[in-house]
Amino acid sequence: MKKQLYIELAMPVVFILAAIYIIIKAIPMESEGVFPIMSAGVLLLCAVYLFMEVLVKREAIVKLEGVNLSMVGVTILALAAYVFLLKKIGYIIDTFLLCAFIICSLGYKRFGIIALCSALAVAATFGVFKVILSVPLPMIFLDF
Amino acid sequence: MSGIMLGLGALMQPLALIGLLGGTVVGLIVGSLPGLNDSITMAVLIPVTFGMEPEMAIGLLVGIYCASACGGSVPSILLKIPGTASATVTAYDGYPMAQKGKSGEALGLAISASTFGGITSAVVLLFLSPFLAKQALKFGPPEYFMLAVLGMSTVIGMAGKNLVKNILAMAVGLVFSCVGMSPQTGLARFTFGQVSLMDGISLIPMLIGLFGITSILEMIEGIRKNPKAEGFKENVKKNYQKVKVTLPNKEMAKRLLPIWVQSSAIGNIIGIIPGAGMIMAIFMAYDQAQRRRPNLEFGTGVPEGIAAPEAANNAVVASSMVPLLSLGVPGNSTSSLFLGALTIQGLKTGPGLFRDTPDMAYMIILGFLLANMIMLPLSVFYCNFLATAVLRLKREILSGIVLTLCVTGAFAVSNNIFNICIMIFFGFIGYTFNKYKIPQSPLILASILGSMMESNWTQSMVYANGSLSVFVTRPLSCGLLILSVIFIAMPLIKMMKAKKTA
Amino acid sequence: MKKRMATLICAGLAAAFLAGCSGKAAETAPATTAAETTVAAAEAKTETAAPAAEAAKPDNFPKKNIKIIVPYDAGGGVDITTRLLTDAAGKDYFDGKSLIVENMPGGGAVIGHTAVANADADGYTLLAYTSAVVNNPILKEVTYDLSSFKTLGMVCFDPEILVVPPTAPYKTFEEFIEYAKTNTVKVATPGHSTAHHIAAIQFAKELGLNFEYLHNDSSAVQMQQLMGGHCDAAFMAVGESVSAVNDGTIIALAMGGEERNPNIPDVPTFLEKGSSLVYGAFRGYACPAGVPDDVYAYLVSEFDKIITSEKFIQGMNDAAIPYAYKSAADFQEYAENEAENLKALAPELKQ
Repeated sequence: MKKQLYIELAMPVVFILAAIYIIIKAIPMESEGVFPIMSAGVLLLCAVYLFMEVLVKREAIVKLEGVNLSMVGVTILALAAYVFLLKKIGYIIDTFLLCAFIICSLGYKRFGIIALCSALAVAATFGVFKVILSVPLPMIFLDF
Repeated sequence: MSGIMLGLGALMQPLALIGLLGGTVVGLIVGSLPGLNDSITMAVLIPVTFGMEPEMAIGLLVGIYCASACGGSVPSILLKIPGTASATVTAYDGYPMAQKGKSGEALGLAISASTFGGITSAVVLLFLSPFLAKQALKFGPPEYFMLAVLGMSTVIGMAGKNLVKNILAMAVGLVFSCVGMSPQTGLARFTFGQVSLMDGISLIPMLIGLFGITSILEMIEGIRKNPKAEGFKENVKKNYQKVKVTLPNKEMAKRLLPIWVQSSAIGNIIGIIPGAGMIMAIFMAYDQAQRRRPNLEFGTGVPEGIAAPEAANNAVVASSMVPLLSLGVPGNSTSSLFLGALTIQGLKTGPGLFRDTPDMAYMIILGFLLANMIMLPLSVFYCNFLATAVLRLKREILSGIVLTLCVTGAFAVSNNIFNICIMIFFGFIGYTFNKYKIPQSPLILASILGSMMESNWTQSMVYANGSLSVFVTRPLSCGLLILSVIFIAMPLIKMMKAKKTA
Repeated sequence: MKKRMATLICAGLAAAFLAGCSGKAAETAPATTAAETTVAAAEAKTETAAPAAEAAKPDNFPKKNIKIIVPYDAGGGVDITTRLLTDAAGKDYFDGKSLIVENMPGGGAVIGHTAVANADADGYTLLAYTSAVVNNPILKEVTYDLSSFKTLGMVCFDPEILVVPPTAPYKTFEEFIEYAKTNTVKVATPGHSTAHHIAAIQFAKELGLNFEYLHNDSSAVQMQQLMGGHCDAAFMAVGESVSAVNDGTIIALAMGGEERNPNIPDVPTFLEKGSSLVYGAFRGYACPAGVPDDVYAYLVSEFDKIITSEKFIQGMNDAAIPYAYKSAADFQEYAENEAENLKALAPELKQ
């Protein structure tokens, strides 16, 4: 019960902190800071109201049973790794790995088909974006 | 009249028709792939059109522009991921309807509404262009400010039960809109030293993150209970065998007609105002449809919820050409690409176009009309084919393909890896917002309208030397102010009344 | 000397021939005659201006296609100009290698500039060089400056023009100055620190006028505000204003070129009216400063041939982009002059 309460409260708290940070950063901006301060002010008020609401109502909004949060975290990390590696190993390999990772983590375990589908997907997007639309996708070899 | 005849003559050339047909097909395909949109395709094709005959070049671009606004609704309905920014709201009722197994019907509603909206705006472009262009000129900074406020009023309208969470999301959106160089003094706000944030948060990566990445994360979170996942797989195979797009029958058409007319009107009006944008049109149309039919539960798969935004976004297409063709001022970023294309072909824009080359001018306008008409059968055929293919695939593989498209599309917007980071960040935001049941539409709307509000407020103050009365003394601004007040007050009053009687 | 002339004429005729073949058939005849006159004109320009020396091709260069980074969105003016250039170059130069356009928009061209300034100085990454290269280092916090680049040649000069709404009480330059001396003029610009904003400040400073600025998000909105009478005046580029001026939807008071523009012959220049403002947006090409001398000389001479070629000039004229040529050396000098002028104005802009 306590854990659920903390989870529920986390959201308003984060917004309150963010609003305060924005207001502090915006004060030295003088005239340009008016709009951020106003928006952050509204944010602060809403967050405080929601904070009170959670304490009073004790309603469980966030449903976390059966939610595999660690997989979600791993996925976000995988995406971050994708960005980091993009310039290092090139678009084709990186996207192939990402595509295969997602299909695999969603539960499909037939690796042969995964490799085939990922390769097709990457080839198709590559063809459309780089060949047809001339978007300069980061390449390691075969730059044209 | 003679101009229209000339235009018709120019349009009925085989080159022009081939261009139009090809453009419509390309537009449908490009619109229906998340990550690709009409702007990037047209931008790349413009130099290619340089070598083409003008009729073919223009037919191609017109076809792409019209059809992509329709094609974007396909993944929006089937996957909850909008193919183009203009299809963002279609997912609200489109996806629930598809979940109930009625994807064919949902697609039919989207296509028919798109065609209706597109045809009305082409007709408006044909007959009312000079008049409307003059009206568009009346929008100065106070009017733009009030327009943004009016757009924000739809947040209150769509708030439903949880008002505070909606205002919270709106405030977050306003804060996000502050990121970047401030409009009046060029001061870099909240950019954390990143040059890529100087122009603010890019819209398309943000939308791709909020919808694409979020839905992938939501799929990931369900992975652990293998038996459960197996069952879903079986389910997927059983239900979605063959999708047949069904256009609305006479009864449904009668029911939807007022919504079609209303949403097209909204789309037309927003389209002619330079800088207003499709997103405002679709949210306003959705909100107005809700106000018109308060008894229906929007968000659960209501036909009006699909018809309204789809009619509005296609209505924006041709009407955004009104200021371009009449005055030489493009109505949104896609029509400014048209400006480039016309310039390369040696054509003028503005009254000169009608005066010196009336056949080309009317060819463009009639081209929009024709494109919308051929879009209907083409998109029915295309959707039948695509929807069946998409739904036949195992959802894991589909997710892999969609993720590949999303990541590449986010990069392709401005060839910047930072956009992928923005996409991931907003994927995280979308996921957490959904977990805490905070609505996303106020966030999207506010992040677009925030900068419009701020810069036009400052400009109005400069223009009027600091006097607030400028908002009431100018008739158009005053009218918009009154409308905004009504739109904000009415739902609040209704809510209070409901609380009293409860 | 003779060899250079001969190569130039051959290149020009070859380009004209190619243009005649690939383009619209009906226009071949006039194009060829026009070609000869323009080649002669281009020749004359190259003779009077400091001509680029015909440089020998370095041994290892180019081994692959050469990229030109355009720091603006696809479909915009700079992008179209560059694509016309790559189209005109085709595979006829650079030993059969092509020029490829890559868009890197954002930050008011800062992203693209930074990318080229930091790129390998091997001659494979070039920049579409506009007034923004002069403005950005002085007005914004960037990691490069003007000396990070070496120019290859200028292709376009679009002068500033002072325009007012049709409903304004002043219809001529003199009337405007009269009005401006006693009132604050609200000037619309397409954005803070854009070339047009800078031009307005320069103008105001020179004549001692009081301007207040309405910064819009784009030149489209600026034009709409001007036409609708929501500002008192605006500064924009001649290229984008010509059709509106000729339609009468806006009124042009004066423009910042050295001579009058043939498309709007009734608009006087600032010079004629006693102001010294000769200002406008320029477009050209450049490479990172560290490029080795032999590669640089080769790039300069190849670019010189391309930008003086008949195909390119014809393409620019067809697209109504104001063609103006400066050789690499002249262009470098011009850019540095502009930077000096701007530095004097910088304190005003930063407030």
